This record gives sequence, structure tokens and C-alpha cells, in this order.
Amino acid sequence: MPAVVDRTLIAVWAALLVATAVSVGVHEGLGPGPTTVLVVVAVAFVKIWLVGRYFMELRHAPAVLRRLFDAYVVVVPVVLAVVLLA
Amino acid sequence: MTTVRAARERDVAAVTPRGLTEHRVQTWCVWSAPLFVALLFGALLVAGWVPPPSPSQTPGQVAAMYAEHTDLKRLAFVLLFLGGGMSAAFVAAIDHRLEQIPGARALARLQVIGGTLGVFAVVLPAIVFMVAAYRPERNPEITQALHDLAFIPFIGNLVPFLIQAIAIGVAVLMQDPERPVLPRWVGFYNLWTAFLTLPGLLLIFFRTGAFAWNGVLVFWVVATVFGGWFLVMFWVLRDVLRAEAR
Amino acid sequence: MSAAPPAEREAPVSRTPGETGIWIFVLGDMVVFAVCFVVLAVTYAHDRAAYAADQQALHLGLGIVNTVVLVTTSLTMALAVRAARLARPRTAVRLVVATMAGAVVFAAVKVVEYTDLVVAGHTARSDDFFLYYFCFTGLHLLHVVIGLAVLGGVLRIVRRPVLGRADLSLVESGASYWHMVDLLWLVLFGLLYTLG
Repeated sequence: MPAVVDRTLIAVWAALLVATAVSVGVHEGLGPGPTTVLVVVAVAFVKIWLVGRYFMELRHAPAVLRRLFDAYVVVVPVVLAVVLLA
Repeated sequence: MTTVRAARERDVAAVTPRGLTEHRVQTWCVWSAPLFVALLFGALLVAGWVPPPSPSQTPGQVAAMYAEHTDLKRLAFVLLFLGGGMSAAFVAAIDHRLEQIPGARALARLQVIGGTLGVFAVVLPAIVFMVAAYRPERNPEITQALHDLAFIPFIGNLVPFLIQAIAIGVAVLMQDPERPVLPRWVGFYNLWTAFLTLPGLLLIFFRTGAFAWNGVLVFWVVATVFGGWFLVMFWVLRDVLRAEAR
Repeated sequence: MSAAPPAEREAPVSRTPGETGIWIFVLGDMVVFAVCFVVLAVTYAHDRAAYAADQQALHLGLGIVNTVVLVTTSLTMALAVRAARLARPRTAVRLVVATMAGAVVFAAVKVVEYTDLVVAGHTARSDDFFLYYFCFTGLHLLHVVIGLAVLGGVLRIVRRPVLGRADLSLVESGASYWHMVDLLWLVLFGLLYTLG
């Protein structure tokens, strides 16, 4: 009988916690500035991508759904970065 | 009753041997949705209100706005008025489908109630806009009060739409999955739309920012979602109608 | 174990998780929140110093706690879906209950945060940062509360010893909704707590 606990899911969870630590670390260590802005935005959307792909199981989803999600994860942070650094 | 039915049957037979009269009326009702959207947003364009005027305008600025291109504004309000009436036909088109869902009688009725109030939600502000534009030379403070009296419900009177979208959402989701009248995603879509219009209720707290009546979350999101809802529902009902004709 | 057809055990090549309809909800909400994120970015770009100063008033520690809580509930929910597919109702029930407990903790922490801020004199009327802080986290909290109701529905389904295809689809839909709640928070947390 296969186990309920799945290694990939646990690894994704750990990665999400590490990513949170990274953005908080950069925020605390570097203080305000363009680097912090870029790291915070990039990390947030990498986290979103991980949640979508593994937790929401988009890696098995039809291409349309996957592409819409991927587009979101690329377009929104780019727009945010442009506005934030303008 | 019998005479009416007999007359109708005769009528049907007279127009087309295949009895497409009902189908044709349904088609018109369904097409009223894009017409409504065209009139609603067309009216805003004609009035020069895309983007909408700021709620933080002074009475003098509001009065000056009505004094400029006054006849164009009056025309816009007439278009808006007609648009409101147009939406009634679409309410009937939706009702026709909800009536076909077993057990959804009360929800079908509720949709008609919401939709009927929705006609007023467009028509009443249109009338008040007309009053505001009728005597632009009057005391500016009165014009401002009328302008507010029209604009706040025009953007913020979302409760009729909420009733309508929730009634449709629940009715669609309660369908027998084996024999759906409308596709199941339409149910989720309606509930989501209802949910999204909620930020509109915050508009009376703000005269600037994202939640003001010209703000990104109140005007732009609600306008897109509301206008989009009519177009999506139009497309869905037209498909159902076409499938039925085949 | 015959309850779960083999196709359900390992997800096949291409399959929509949950109902198609729930994805309209999920992607639609993500787009609306994207507008909220841009509003925050505009607020930041407008006056960086004020944004940073206001951000100092937030309790970063509580924000981190809530992030850890939500990410963990996302994990327990993903595992609950697996348990449901593997026809292990008791495990699935425990995992869904754990997810719901996490949701309650999140909401409780949020209430503590709100109370602290208001007591310290920061309200939605203070300035743009706090206006959007309260409105957007409030909108998100509303999602959490709706999520609790959704999870309650999921709990009723996974309790059953045998799940059909439609049941599993509902469980997946509920899970997708919950992951969305997590996902939106991850960006809100980044922008509100760690930007300045």
C-alpha cells in the first residue's frame, strides 16, 4: 500500500519555508532598496509557482491551465517590479 | 387560455412550418445582452466619463462639467436609459433556462426579481443624471448633490446583481450532472462574479484611492466583471440555443 | 482498496485537478488580487519612506507565523487529497481537520494583529498603506473564512469509506481553493511585511 506521505510534497513544503526565510533575511539584512524589492517579488512568485505546480497539481493539468498559470507567475511579478522600481 | 394557445399555434404555423418563432424571440432576448453592454459603455464614452469623473471634484467643477457638452451628456443619459430597458430582455432569456432546471423554481423567480431590480439600478440613476443635466446653470451645490445621487447608486447599487448572480449560481450547481441545462462552470462563474462585486460596497467611504467610485477596484474591476458577465452569459445562452435548434 | 480505481492512484498525463469551474474561481481571484498587488506597488512607489515607516508598525513575527501556518495547511491539504485517493478515510479526516485547525489559528493571529494595530492608533483611516493593509488582508481573511466552510464540506466527503469519481473531484476542488488562499497570502506577506 503506497504511503500517504509523499517526499515531493514534503520537499516543496520545506522549500517554501526556506524561501520565506530568504526573503525575511534579505529584508532584515539589506533594508529597503531595489535589491530587497527584486528578491522579495521574485521569491514570492517562485513560491506561488511551487504551490501551483505541486500542491495544486498543475504539473499534471491540461496545457491551457498550466500556461495560464505560468503566464500569471511571469507577467504579474514583472509588472510589479516595473511599478515598484519606477 | 385555449384561444391564446390556439392563436399561438396558428401564429407559429403561419410564420414557419418548423415552429421557430419561439426560437427567434429567444434569440432576440439573448442578443439583448451585448446590446446592453454596448449602450451602457457607449453612454459612458459619449458622456466623456471613461475614466469616470473624480468624486473629489468641487461643486464648481461638477457644475462646469455638466455645462460643457451638455447635449452630448443628455444623449448619453438617454442611451443609458434605453440600455437599462434592454437588460430586461436578457433577464427573460436567463429565466427561460432556469425554469428548465428541475427544483430551481424559486431560484428562477429570484433571478427575475434580482434582474428586475437591476433594470431600476440602471434606469433610476439615468433619470437623476438627466435631471442634473437639465438645468446646468443652477446652483452648483444642487448639481453636485444630484450628481452624487446618480453616481453612487450607478456604481454602488450592486445588491440586485448580487441576488441575480447568486440565484443563477446556486440553480446551475444544483442541476443533475447527467442532464445539465447550463454548463456547470457557469455556476461557479456566477458565484465568483457575485463575490467580486463586493468591493463596490466600500465606495461610500472614499473620495480618492482604489475604493473610490473611480478607483481601480471599484470602477475598473466591477465594470470589467459586470460587463464581462453579460458577454459570457450571452455566449453561454447563445450556445444552448444553437444546440437546441440542431 | 478496490474503491479507488487505478487511474486515481497516480495522476495520468493530463487531467484537470478538481472541476473546471473551480479554476474559473481560482484564476479569476488571482487576477483580481493581482490588481490589489499592483495597487500596493503603486502606493510603495508613490512614497517609499512612508511605506517603509508604516511597515515597521506591522508585527513581522506574526506575519511569519501565519505564513508558516498557511504553507503547512497547504501541505496537509495536499496530503489529504492523496489519502482520499488512496481510500484511507481516517488519515484523510485527520489531515483535513489539521488544515481547518491551521485556518483557525491563522484567523486568530490576524485578529490579534488587527487589535494591536488599532490599539497603537493605526486604522484604515490612517493613510494609504494601512487602508490597503486592512482592506486586502481583510479580503484575504474573508477567503480564509469561506475556505473553512469549504473544508467543512470536504471533511464530510472524505469521512465516507468509499469515494466515487465525482466525490474525489469535489475534494480536489476544495483543495485547489485552499491552495489559492495560501498562494495569495504568500504575495501579500511579501509585499506588506518585507518590501520596504
